[in-house]
Amino acid sequence: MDKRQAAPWIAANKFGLGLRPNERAAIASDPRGWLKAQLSQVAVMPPALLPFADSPALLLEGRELQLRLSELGKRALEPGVKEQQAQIRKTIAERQEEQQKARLLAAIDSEAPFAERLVRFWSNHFTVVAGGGGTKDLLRHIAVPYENEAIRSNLDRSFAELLLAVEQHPAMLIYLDNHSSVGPNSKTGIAQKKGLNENLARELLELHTLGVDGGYGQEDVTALARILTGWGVDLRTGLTPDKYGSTLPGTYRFALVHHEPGEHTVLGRTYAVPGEQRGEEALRDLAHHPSTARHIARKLVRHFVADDPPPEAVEKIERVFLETGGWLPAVHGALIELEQAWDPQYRKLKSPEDLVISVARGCMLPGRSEQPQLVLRSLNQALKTFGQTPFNAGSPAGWADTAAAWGNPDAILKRIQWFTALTKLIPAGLDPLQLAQELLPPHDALLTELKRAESEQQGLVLLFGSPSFQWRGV
Amino acid sequence: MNSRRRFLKGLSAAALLPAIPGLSLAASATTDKRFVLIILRGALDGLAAVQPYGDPALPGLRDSLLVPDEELRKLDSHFALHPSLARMHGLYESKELEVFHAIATPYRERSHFDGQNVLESGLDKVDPGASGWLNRVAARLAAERPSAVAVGQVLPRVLHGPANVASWTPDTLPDLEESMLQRLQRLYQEDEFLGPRLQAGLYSEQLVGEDEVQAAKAGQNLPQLAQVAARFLAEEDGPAIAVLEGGGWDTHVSQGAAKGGLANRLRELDSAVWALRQGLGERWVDTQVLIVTEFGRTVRVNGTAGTDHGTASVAFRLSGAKQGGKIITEWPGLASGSLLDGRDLRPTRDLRQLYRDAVVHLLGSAEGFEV
Repeated sequence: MDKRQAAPWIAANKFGLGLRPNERAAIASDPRGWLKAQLSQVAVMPPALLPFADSPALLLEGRELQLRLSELGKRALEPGVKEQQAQIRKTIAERQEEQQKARLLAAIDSEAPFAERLVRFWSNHFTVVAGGGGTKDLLRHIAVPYENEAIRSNLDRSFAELLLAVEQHPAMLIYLDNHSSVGPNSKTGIAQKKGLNENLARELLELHTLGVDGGYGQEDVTALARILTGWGVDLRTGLTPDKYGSTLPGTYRFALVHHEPGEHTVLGRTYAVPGEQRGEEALRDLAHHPSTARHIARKLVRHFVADDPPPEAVEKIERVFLETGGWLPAVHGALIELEQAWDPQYRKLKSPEDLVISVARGCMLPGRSEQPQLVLRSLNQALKTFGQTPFNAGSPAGWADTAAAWGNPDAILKRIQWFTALTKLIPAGLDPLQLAQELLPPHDALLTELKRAESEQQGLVLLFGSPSFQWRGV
Repeated sequence: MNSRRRFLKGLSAAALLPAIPGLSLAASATTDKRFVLIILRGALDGLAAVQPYGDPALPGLRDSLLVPDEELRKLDSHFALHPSLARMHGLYESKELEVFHAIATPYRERSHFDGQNVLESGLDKVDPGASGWLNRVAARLAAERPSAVAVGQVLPRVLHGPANVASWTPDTLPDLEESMLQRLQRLYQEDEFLGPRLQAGLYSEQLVGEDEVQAAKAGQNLPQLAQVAARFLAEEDGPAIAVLEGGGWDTHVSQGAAKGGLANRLRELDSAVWALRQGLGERWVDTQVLIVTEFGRTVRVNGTAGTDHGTASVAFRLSGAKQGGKIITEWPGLASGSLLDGRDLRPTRDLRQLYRDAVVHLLGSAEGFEV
């Protein structure tokens, strides 16, 4: 297939989240234009996510539930307490599932699938894990709001602004322990013998900005950790007076009493004046560092072109990043202009999430089903089966972005088994042959097997299982 | 027996071969030996797992993380296992467990991801494209079937590489129609990535028994995965190598001492080791189990009752042939002048020697083998 013929498929499957029936014509006339038009919609909140627009309220609600659980824990032997505990745990699990399902539906229904993919890319770059015990369990209540407030809302701005929004969001501060890191020579540090936790500082340098080979050392990690002391979260549940100052419960707040005094030097620059400001300055400097440009460019090209990113493509994105001061619309736009992105020789194995979303888009689920809630639940459950439960990457590096990571033998077999299970939920009347011609580039061997399929269900399994559906590409 | 298993039972190993283009037929070594690698992701605190209670500097460094002497499972007059490792202590006494302390890979930075890269490639520095050392071992074993299996959701890097390996996770998904599988296999013939993997996936499904599926569906923690791994290796024509992994070792906050988060993780590890020993049955005598982590943790407690990323840690080796009952270390000491960068346990032993020992165990010789 030549490049011109391949372009609509690449726009829809590699930049987007997979075709819906009848969608191709609109893309085919101008695939690049279709993608560019989505750049201005990247910060728009999908309707499905509107109920989760207010993270302070959701965080405090979570805190209330947590406090009630710990109160009940002290009376564990009294009658009826176990049932009450179970009820609260069930409520928490249900609310988490509601957020996951809404997030999935936003992608399935998206009319700007390239924009939605960008949100997911950055959300994975700045991953948080929803859970982990103690305070970290609060993340179960604010993972989707975090993605909207810190990531989505800032994708039409600069990388520096995105970075600041992420590192000052309660979700990240709790996930990487900064909310409990205390300067050893701060007022609190001296009075309560508390100290540093360098988790956020390390991952900020290694994963969020410079990259592991970005030219920093242990002393930079420690200095940045000191600079970031005091960046925390207001976890008051009521209106009790706050000794730290003027913030609203459930939001980011800076506590000078936890802040480490003295001068600290990161990557050769000294940040002398104690306070909140110097952390913001340090983050801006990191956002504009050449190593950051290279690190981000590599990850973007890996996601949109190939597991092994072609160096010329990385250099081009890196240059745009540096020249525009990390202006994200320009960087995202440059991806569309990459020659390599449109080269059919490069392809990406769909991640489990890509797979579930593209199957649902392809056969118009859950909307086409008579039991949309049941089907949505089953689609969401599939992410867990495949080991990609939303906000559960298990490490601050996020989900892997290579075929080697997702394509292990058991996972490939499971995909086929899952399609088999899913076809039982798809209402009859979907002709696999016709659908293949709508959704996939022409492929004789596939059409032959589909014609021979013993049933509609078997045909659908072959269609979704076929190599051209499993890969993002042509 | 369901339809797929019947279908597969009918296929001999040789009949499966032509459909697996990724398999190398050049490799020909065979082995009766078995090897299990357990990777503890997140960096196990070696000083908590194997407490150097005889080191005079210890009490001043990590007061709140120390297990009281009377609760420790002592190995000698200087080292003791954490109380959660009760069964492993019994295996130490029966000479089935060896403990290595102040051990590390050659990696000297403190990134989990690079640390795990070096841990799993077996090379002396980070190489994002490197194959895993156990994949290189698998490539040398006879290729009628995958000679290594990963039990867990993701294929770990230690098994990445050219040799075809199997993997398995419990699920509740339906079985497949034989006619559909045959059609799909035809579609996959020209796909060098998907084709061999589908075959290897089918192989694992065939090997594992219904009992293990049911047991593992109940949960996927380390002991349950260990039970499945043992089942794979215990088969006469099963793979020679299994890899298990578990997370939760990155104890930055509230690590605990005799009780707490780390103690719970260690208890799971202890149960996993026991599940392997029980499940392997008569095969245990041919089995070696190696337990490793990417690096250790800071000697001092951090500001949140936990520990941050460090350097040297411990490794454990179990052998059915009873070559253990020893703790092996050139102890660097915990006095402030002895610490690496003023904060970490200094490594005095290269973990890769244990990899080379495993290669000898499996292949008879490690000559020409790159680790």
